[in-house]
Amino acid sequence: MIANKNGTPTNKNHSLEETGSELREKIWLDAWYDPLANITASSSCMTFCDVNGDGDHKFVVASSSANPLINGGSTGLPINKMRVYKGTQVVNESVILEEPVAVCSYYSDLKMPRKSIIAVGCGSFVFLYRNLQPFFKFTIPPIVIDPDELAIWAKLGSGKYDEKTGYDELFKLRDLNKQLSIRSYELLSLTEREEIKNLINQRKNTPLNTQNILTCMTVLKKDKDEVDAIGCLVLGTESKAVMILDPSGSSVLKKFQLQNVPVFMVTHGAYDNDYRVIIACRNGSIYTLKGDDISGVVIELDSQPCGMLRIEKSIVVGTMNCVLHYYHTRGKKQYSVYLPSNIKNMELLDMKAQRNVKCVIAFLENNELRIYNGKTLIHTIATVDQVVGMCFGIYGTEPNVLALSYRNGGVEFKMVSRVAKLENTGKGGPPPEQEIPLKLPTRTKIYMEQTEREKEHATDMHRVFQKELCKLRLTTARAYVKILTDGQGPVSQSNHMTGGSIRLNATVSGLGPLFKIRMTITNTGQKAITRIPVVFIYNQQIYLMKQSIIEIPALIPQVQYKMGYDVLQIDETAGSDSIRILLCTPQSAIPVITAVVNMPLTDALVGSVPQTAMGQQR
Amino acid sequence: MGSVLSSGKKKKVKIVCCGLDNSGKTTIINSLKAKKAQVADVTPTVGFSVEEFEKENLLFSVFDMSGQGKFRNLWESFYDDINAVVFVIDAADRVRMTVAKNELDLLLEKEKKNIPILFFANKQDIQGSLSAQECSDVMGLGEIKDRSFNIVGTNALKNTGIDVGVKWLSGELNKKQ
Repeated sequence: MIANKNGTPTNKNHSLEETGSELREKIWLDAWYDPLANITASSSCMTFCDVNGDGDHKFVVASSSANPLINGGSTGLPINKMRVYKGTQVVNESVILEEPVAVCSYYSDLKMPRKSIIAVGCGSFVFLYRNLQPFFKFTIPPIVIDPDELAIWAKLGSGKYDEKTGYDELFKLRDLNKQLSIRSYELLSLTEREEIKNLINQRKNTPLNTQNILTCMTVLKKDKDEVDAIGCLVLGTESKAVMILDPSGSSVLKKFQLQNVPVFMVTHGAYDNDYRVIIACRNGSIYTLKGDDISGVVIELDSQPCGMLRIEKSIVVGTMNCVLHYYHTRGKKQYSVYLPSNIKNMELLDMKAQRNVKCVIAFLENNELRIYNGKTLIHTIATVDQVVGMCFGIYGTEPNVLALSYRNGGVEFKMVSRVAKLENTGKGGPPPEQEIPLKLPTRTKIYMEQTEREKEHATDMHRVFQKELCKLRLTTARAYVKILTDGQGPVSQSNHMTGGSIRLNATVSGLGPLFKIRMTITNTGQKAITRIPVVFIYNQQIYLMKQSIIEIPALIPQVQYKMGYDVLQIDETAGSDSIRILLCTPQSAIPVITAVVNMPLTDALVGSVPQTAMGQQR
Repeated sequence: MGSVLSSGKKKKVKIVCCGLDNSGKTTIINSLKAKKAQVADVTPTVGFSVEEFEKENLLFSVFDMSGQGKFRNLWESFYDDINAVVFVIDAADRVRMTVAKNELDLLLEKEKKNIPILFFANKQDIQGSLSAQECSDVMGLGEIKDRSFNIVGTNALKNTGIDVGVKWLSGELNKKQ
């Protein structure tokens, strides 16, 4: 009783500890899932921000109309829209004219209450919203067209050049590595003279201008690197340029011309002090902007980037060959994590309140949402559908919320549990087995001699071993072939005679002198077999059977046939013998299968023994 | 001074009041206090505050905890020394119901004395808020087997429902001792 009393509480404690660890193992709390939200937005088109300046953060999402899986509005036509969520409710929805590229939120001034501005980038414009009302439009300056190209098109327009000369002139310009307009590239891509002529006739009288398209947008803090500091928009464009705007969004503070089209940008520091803008380009190079210059350090990735994040002083780049690369912001490679599937989306898990952990959330093509802390995989869950975008931040007043946009148009909010175990618990580096020392034999004299001999005769020993191994294999193979051809085994191999393979299992039951042989025959082949003779071979002085040859009319594939035959032991003094069962085919004398049944001793003689009989049953 | 003298005979109980931020903990406690001691406007609690009041012949001393994420780890440091828990749920905040459930699970795991818990499904006045029964379902209260609990729908601003809950709690506390 005492032991019992002592035992119970400890058990209880143990189970409590277990539930505790269970709570810590669980990272994501499923807060809200709306499968009918009808929006799809990439990671760059979502943000959490304090629109009204009351500390209640809303979820702002710009939904694209390009997804064929989601329905349009009341008109039935798909529309691009910006939605603002508060709790589970949509508090605002407005139409965006073009496909959204990116949504950012930042503070443009220090006025109280601090209301953040929402910047929606689409096409060649950035729309700024204050109090959820559009109040300013920034137009990205158009691409400057080469004067030579303009001259060629002017001559084409006035008819001074025919299509052949115009084409050749443009060709020459392209060979000089001049940046041409899209119209000229289109022309140069044509080969048929008729097509070239048509294109020129269609376009020659419209003015040649090339809009500059936004590719990515982010926010760089202006005077100090804090959450509520004033920010500047940083725009990346299709013309391979990066622009830093002033906080009001009305003018360009700095412009940089890169060699490639920027697609992902992260910022570090503040514009007025020491800042860096790290830019991943479509071709896989990563540039760093610092002060007035483009830094000389260029990271060349082994594949195209599909996401980039910054964790303190390191940047994490996900590439299209399923790798997460970690680099120092100065460009030095730290390590890589190889993932089992394509990376579809990446987001930074920046744990706020109480503790400060930064992890990478990666969504993979196999519907796994993974969390990595450095090199270590912390957590994996499966999602209901493909995630097209995700965003981590403060929602309402709750920090650490992840918003997910699904391909089916659904939206989900997940929250990180306060006690979630995100820290890197497992020791990195080599597996623990490596630390266990090998059991080396002691260096005795015999051992030393043995080693010496092995060193001297290594080749011979190896050769002998190989020879023996070969012989063993040959013997095995021969024995195997013999069994197959003799029909001695319990399972026959498929051959031309039967057209299928047969399995035979025979057992004996009874205490004697009357026994029963029970056979189970299965045709494991594909075809049915007919007229199969079965022969029992036994010592006729000891045993008696009604029929020693029977014929099974047919064996249908995959059906178990069970049969029983009586055997009478006529000479009760003769001990026991075995009976061989041969299963043959009408075409051949060689049996297909053989089974041997060891008959038990008759009970009357030995006196004991149902056990013996049972024991010898096969 | 009179209250101090009379309180000498009364039984003292310590309770902790927890729940997510902006669920109405301080407002509920405020409405339980004597009219004179009530505060006009309630601001978010930082850390925790201690309030005392008399109800149902008991002298309550309440630890009003802050519900903000960064202070929630303070809750558990009070579990050793209390007679009951008051857990306030914001019935209008559907998104964070799962967070409240998570915090409750942690509470149930850490608090091992099986003391009674009183749940307030607050903000019943807001349209679309969950009823006490719905809150109970979402929070999985049916799974609590090792202690007594009760859930009451309240509106702390209008002071409705709170007395029902406190009456139940006093009954439980008197039964225990």
